[in-house]
Order: sequence, then C-alpha cells, then structure tokens
Amino acid sequence: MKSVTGFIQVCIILIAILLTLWAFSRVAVREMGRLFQNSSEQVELVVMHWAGGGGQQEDQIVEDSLRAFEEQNPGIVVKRINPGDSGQYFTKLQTMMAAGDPPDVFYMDFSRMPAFVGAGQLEPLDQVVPVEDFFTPTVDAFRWDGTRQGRGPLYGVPKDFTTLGFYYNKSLFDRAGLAYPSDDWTWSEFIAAARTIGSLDPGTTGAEIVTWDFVLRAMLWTEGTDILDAEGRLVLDDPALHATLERLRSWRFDEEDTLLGAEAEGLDPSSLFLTGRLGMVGPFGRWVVPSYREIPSTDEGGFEWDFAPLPRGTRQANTIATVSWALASKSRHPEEARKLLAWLVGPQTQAAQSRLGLAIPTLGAVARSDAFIDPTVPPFNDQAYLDAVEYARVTDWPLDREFSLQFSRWMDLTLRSNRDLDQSLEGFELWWERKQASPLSGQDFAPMPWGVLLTGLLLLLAILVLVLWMRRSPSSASTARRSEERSGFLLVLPWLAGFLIFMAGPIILSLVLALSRWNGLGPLSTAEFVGLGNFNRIFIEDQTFWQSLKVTGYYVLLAVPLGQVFALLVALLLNARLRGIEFFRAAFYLPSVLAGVGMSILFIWVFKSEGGMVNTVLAPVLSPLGLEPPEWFNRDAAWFGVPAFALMNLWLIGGSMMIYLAGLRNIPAELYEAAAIDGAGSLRRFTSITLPMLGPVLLFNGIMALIGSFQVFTQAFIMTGGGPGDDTRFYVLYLYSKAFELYDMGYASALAWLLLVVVLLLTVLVMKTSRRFVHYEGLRQ
Amino acid sequence: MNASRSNPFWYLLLLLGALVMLFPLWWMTVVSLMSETQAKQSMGSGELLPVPRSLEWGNYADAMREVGTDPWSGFLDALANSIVVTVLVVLGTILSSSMVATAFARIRFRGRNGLFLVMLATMMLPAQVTMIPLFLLFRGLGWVDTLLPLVVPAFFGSAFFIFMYRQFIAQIPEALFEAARIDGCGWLEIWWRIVLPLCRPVTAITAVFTFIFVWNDFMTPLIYLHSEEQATIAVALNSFRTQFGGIEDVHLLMALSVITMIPCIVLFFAAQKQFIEGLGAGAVKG
Repeated sequence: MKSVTGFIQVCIILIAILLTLWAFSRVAVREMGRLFQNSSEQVELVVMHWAGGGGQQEDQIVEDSLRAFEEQNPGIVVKRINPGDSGQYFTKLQTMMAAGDPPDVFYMDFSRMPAFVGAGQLEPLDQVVPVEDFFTPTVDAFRWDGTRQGRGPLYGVPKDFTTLGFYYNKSLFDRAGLAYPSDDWTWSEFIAAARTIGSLDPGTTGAEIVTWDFVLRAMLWTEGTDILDAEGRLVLDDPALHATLERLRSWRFDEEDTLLGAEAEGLDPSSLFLTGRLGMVGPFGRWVVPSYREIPSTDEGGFEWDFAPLPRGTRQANTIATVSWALASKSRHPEEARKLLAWLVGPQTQAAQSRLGLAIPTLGAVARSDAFIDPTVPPFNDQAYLDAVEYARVTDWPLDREFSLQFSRWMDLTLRSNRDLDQSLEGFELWWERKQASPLSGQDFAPMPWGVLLTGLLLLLAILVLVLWMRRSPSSASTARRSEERSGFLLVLPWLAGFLIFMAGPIILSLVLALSRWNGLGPLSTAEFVGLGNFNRIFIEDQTFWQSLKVTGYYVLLAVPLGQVFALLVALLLNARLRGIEFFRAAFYLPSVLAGVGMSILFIWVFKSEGGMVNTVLAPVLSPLGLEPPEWFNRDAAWFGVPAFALMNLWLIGGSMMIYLAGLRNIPAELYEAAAIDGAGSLRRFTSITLPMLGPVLLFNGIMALIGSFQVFTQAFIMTGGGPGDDTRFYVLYLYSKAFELYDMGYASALAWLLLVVVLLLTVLVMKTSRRFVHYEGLRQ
Repeated sequence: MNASRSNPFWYLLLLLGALVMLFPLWWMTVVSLMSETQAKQSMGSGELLPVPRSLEWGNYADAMREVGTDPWSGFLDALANSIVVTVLVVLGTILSSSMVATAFARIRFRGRNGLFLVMLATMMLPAQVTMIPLFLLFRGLGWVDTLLPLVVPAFFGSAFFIFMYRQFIAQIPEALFEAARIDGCGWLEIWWRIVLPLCRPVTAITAVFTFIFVWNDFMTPLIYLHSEEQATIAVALNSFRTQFGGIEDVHLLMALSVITMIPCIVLFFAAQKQFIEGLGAGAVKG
C-alpha cells in the first residue's frame, strides 16, 4: 500500500517537473523569437483582427489571404495578431495605440470608429478602393465628418456586413400547420406563429427575441419610431415607442411559452435554437449561420431551418451591422499598408469569407455570385439579406460610448426583469440629461499641473529624508551595530522598494488621477484637472454608482454572516475525532481551492432558472406551498441575483473553515472538563467557552471576509456580467468597466479611492466595536 | 468538544454536507463525459442525476484543440504561460518574503517596528486602488501583453507571507543565529543557510497557497494579457466560454473547466497537510 502511494507521488513529481521544463522552454523560445525578429530589410506589416463565430476558420481565411498577398508582393512580410474576441481586441488595440505602436491594418467596427478618428488614429481611405462597387450603406457607415456618421471622409473599407432577421425552425412550423414566413411578414404574423408553436407541447417555446442595443433600435424603426431624433437628440415621448417596447415586455412576461428569456443567464441565446424546441430566434445577422449549418437534417434526428428578414410593423426597416478594415494613421509603411488593405477587401478574400457563411460580401458582384447565393445549403433565403439592404440603415449612436451601454441596461430592466417601462425610460432620460449637463461632459479644463505636483512631491520627500537624517542617533554606535543596521535595511529593501513602487506611488498617483479627466489613450500629460468634479458626479449624478454600492452592500450583509456561520458550523462538525474525518475535511475544503473561472462557469448551470441544479431541487419542495423557485439571474434578479452569489460563496469558505478548526483545536481541553464537572450542557459550553475563546479568530475571519466581499469580481464577470440591467453590478465590476472598457481613467480612479475609504472605515469600525467583546487571554500565553 | 463521537446523527450531517459540497463537481465531471446530444438534452431538461450513456473521453481532446484560434497551440500556450507564471510567482514570493521576514524578525534596525506596522496595514488595502496606476506603469514600461506584470511584483514580497515567515522565524532559538554570526556569517548567508532550511513548513504553505491563488487569478491577467499566445489558462477558459457558451457545447465547456482544475485538485490531495494547517498557522498562532 505504502509503496503504491509512494510510486504515485514520484510519478506526480516527475510529471510536474517535466511540465515545468516544457513550459519554460516553450515560453522562452517564443519570447526569444519576439526579441530577435525583424532583422531583415523586408517591410513588415502587422495585421490585427478578431475571430467571431467563425473561430479557427476565420483565422484560416485571413491567414490564407495574407500568404497570397505575400506571394504577389515579394519583400513584404505580414504578421497576423488575433487577440481573441472583439472585447479583448479593442483593449489590445487601444493599448497598442497608446504605446504608439499600432498594427498597420486592422478590423474596425462602425460604432467605435468615430472615437478612433477623434483620437487621430485612423487614416482617410477615399482613394484606396473604388467604393462604387460596394453596397452604399455599408460604405456610408464608415464616413465621419466630425459630428455625424454617414457623410465626410471614409475611414474604413467594409469587409462584410449583415442585415437582421429571424431564423425559424421549419419542422416546428410544419408540425403547427403554419405557413413559412414571407419576406414581408408582419409582427402580428410573427407573434401568432410564436403563440401557436408555444402551445404545441410543454417542451416548445415560440421564439426568443434578443434585445441588444442596435437590435432594439431596428425593431423600433419597423414601427416608425426611435429613441433619437433627426438631430441625434434623445426623445422618448413618442407613444409608438412606448407601445412597441411595452408589447415586447408583455410578450415575454404576460404570456406562457411565447417568448423565452435565458439570455441574461450567461447562455448564448443563438444556441438555444439548436435544441430544436424553439420556433424562431433573432433578430440575428448572418453570423449564426456557420453554427446552424451543423444542425443535422430531419432524417438524421435534427430539423430544417431557414431565414426571414425582420418583420414589418407600420413599415419595413432593418439595420446594417458591418466591420471594416482600417488603416493606422501612424503606420510606418503607409504605401504597402494601403495595398494590403485593398487586397483584403478585394473579391478573392470576400468570396472565401463568404463561403464560410459568416457574413455577407460588401462587393455587390461577389454577393450576387454563387459564393454567397448557394441554393445547396441552408439558409435558402440568401436573397432576403440582400433585399433588406434597400431599406436598411446603419445605427447611429452619440459619441459617448456609455450611451448605448446605459440604453441596454435600462431597457433590460423592463425587457429582462419586468420592471415598469415608464420608470426605465425616465431613468434613462434622467441619466442622459445629467450626463450632458455635467461640466465633465463638455467644458474644457486646465491641464493637470504635473510639474507643480512633481516638484511638491520631491520637496516633501526631501524634507522627510532631512528629518530622518537629523533624527538619526549619534554615530557613537559600534561598527557591529551599524553593520547590522545596514543588513537590516538591505534585507527589507525588496519589500520597501515594492511598497514604494507598487503600492505607495500608485496610491498617490491614483489620488491625483481621481482629480482629473483623462481617457487613457494619450500620454499622461493630456490629463485635465477637474478638482472634485469626478466625486461630484459620482455622488450626485451617477445612479450606477449607487446601484453598485447597493448590490455590494446587499452582498456583504448576506455573504459575510451567512458564510461565517456556515464555516463555523462546519468547523464544529469537523472537530470530532471520527473515523474517516479526513475525507469529510477534504470534501468541505476542496471546492474553495478551485475558485476561479471554471467554478463560475459551473455555477451558471447550478443557478440556471430552468433545469438548473438548485431549482430542480427547490421546485418539488416549493410547489406544495404554491411557490415557484426564483429565476435567479433573470426575472427575479433584483432580489435573488445577489443572494445567488452569497449562496455560491458557501462553497468557497474552506479557508475560513480551516482557520476556525485550528482555533477550536487551540482551546485547552481542561476548560471543557472543568465546565463538564460544573454540569454545563453542550449549548452552555459553546456559548461560555467556545465562542469567547474563538473571539480573535472570529474577528480575523470576519474582517477578511468583509474585505473580500467588497472585491467580488470573477464570479460576477463570468456569470452575469452585472446584468440583467444593473441588478448584479458589483462595485469592482463597475470600476473595471469604467477603467478598462470605457477608458475613463480619472473617473475610475475616483471610484477606486472611494472603495478604499469605505473598506478602511468599515474595518476600523469593526475593530473598534470588537474591543468590547473579543477576549485575547486564551491566546496570549 | 474533543470527545470522540460515534453518533450516527453526526455522521449523517457530515455526509449530507459533503454530498452537497461535492455534488456540483461530480455533476460537472459527468456532463464533461457525455455525448453532445445527451449533454444538450440533460442540461435542457434539468436532470438531477444524469448518467453518461457512454464515456466520451474524446471531449477532453476536442475541448483542448478548440481553445484559441490555432488548433492545440492555443491551449498549450495558455498552459505553458500559467505554469511559468505560477512557478515564478511561487519562487519569487518564497525568496523575497522569507528574506524580508528575517530582517523583521531578527535584525535590529531603526524604523523596524514602524515599517512592520505599515506592512501589516497594506494587507487591508483592496488591490483595486492600485490597479489603474499599475496598469499605466506597466504600459509605460512596454510590459502590457507580456507575462512580466504578473510575475515581477512577486519578487518584492507579499505582506501576508512575510508576516507568516516572521512569526516562524521569531521562534527559532537565538543560539543558532549567534553561532552563525560568530562563525562570521553575514545576514544574507544566515538567511540562505539557516532561515530558509529551517522554515520549510512555512515555505511549503506559502508555495501551496500562492500556487492556488495565482493559478485561479483572473482579474490581473484579464487586464494585462490581450493576445492569445500570452493568455493564462483562466483567460483562455473565459475566451473559450464566449465562443462556446451555447448549450450545444456545454460538454466541451465542462471538460475544459475540469482540465483547468486538475492541477489544483492534484496539489490539494498531494499537500493536504499544508492546506489544513496552513491558514490556521497564519491566523491563529499570530
């Protein structure tokens, strides 16, 4: 037995060593390659793109066309970067631009283009390709004259585009005896079909409608209404707007089985269609086609499907989503980069990309060729995507990127959590009014006085050093003593340097940044001094701040007591000398060492409203009481979203539990023996001996849990992303999005400082009040 | 409370609790071994005790191959990066923390107590306060999208482990240090030849907890690493989730999640002693 475990141990150690050696050599080879590249006299271009639903296939297509380009243009080498999904893509792009080393040719989506033009990063492209061969609306999407999209110079050449519509399950339509949707079907036909399919049998649902910002806008257009007027001002009092949104809410919440709503639960809504129990799904563009083509035919146990354009209301409308290739204004080889860009949007590349099925070619000739219109594979209604171009337009957004984010959040409250529509609209309107009226939005401020600040800081440091110098003890100390001093400083130096560089310095800089407005794209010298403007806005105008504080506070109030009581109870259970107690200890502890992305992914499924583990257990328990289990991250998220995270926390309290266990072991057995002689019952022994003796441990664990609870990030980021609406927008999640998604560095620094203040105040408060009832004598000896 | 119990009720409670704690993990493993059709069905219908009809070990290979954009290399890069970062951070933390702790515990120098208090106070700081300036610092150095921002700070000591080492070093008999000094050892030598070997229990605890923390950390790599070839396993798993988040790929998602957990599970069972005693040693005896 012993030799077997010994053998296993040796094996594990061997594998670990081999893996480590392999990992270091792999990384070393890669990094060396990066250091020593680029020594030839060839022109090197860098191309950056992301891979959407096409995944590895999209890479292959870009890669192939780059290699073809290299063959035709000897002397030019093209390097390809793909940072992953589009979210990471833009973070990487911004970072590279801020460092002054952007890729030469890169993907640019039309809604972000104005911001990049404003920062002077994009090169006008009017002369690069003959734009008349392209679908006009797709080209216009990348024109920008400084105030509005659709006119002015061209900053990106569209590589592909899509219009929107619904994908429908033909087999379910047949079963329900419904006619397939026509190209100008209406919303009433849509909902009638959804209701019929929903009532087919208990497993089927009529449709899923996604309510992303630009999709929602397109649906509003079909009823001749919108949230922005012709001048781009926010106008929300159109009765048709109310009617359209209210209808959408009512379909989802007032009817059974007509609409589904699992989007906010971390599931990709497009994939729900694949189960074959959903009648229609959308509005989606062409991007879902590669994954839908994997659906087996009816004979092989799957179903048939096709595409229908967005239904009409009072009129036909549609939107164009498009991505272009853009050129960096700071490219070191502009001539070659232009040539490459022209190649990338040329007919060969577009035809190859189109065969993948992911998007529609922007070149009219390619779109009408058999590269796109392919009657042998679904969807058979390819023509419908092209016809919709006639009446489609590009979604225009205000320059402030937070506008569309907030629009989604407020609409989610109604369309995902069933909150009153008028309140959501009013809330959104109020947010926008305040944001626009805020001095931080328009007004110019003086640049940050970095020179003065730096001089002040240096002066302060000089004074500090001087004071220390004057206070040093007379040099009468022995040489041995002084050498010990020196060694002491030397050994503490790593921490001291780390403290100054990674802690004290950043905290001061953070405070300075909190008084500034700065978009993080340019150098620090572009920061403007706004005084207490950020704090002013946080406290008075920023509802999201208060919401995130509320969410975090709710979590702290639930998770800290719940987690600590649970941890203590388990520790009491585990503090028994039982056969096999090691197994139980490991079982209770194991989940906490796995707390990470994987665990969060797992818990999406644990708390899923339908078919989730918790609700499957709860449903039979609650149904005799006439209750239904909550939709944790969906309809009931306002009250149940945060508690779900607090419950999940119970799986992760192994650390606290072990500390309690160690504390329990440290209590002298004589105390219990004496109490037993005095005739104290077990409850009495717990309250009179165990709890008081655990005092310091309770305090330590409590404070650690308190600090940790304010910093919830990974779980929320993975499981809900803060939604629906802002129902689970934890403080650090908001801080992260302000800093690294919206690049509002000054504002985010102010938020960070407030977090520091709140945490410190609470810690001090807990410590102060604890003095009265925490006893230390048990541990002093 | 230390009285031995053989109360069946006690066992029942323990058993029930253990079952609840382990259930999600067991369930995740089961789903990761299902065929696509069965996983889809089972997840959609809310089956509580699913049994895989066939063991699809191929799911694991499929999941690893599909990470990132180039087959296999996305996963291998992420694995290599995670290992390199974790090993370096563990090494850095052990070396720097034990060295600093030696000074705090044994060497008399002016300002020692003040500095020690400052160090203890830094444990209370939420990391988010320094997040933005640190990002700017590393961006200025050109380190963004390299592994350096994740690794380098570890070589400057970690307050928690410095504290733990200090508590331990303070208990080493003074005679040892005196003897070494009489033999003419400098403090660096004392640290290397006396403190480090004697501190093995603390070092083991430090290694184990740092490993778990770094392996599971998500926010730091999310901020600093943007390209696929630089991603750690946590970031790669998140990208995988955005690409394969649908119900038709749930078996792959679960398989990859299990894979990312394996090193921590192995470490947990290999170093149970450190896990059980580690946190107690830091918090209770301190």
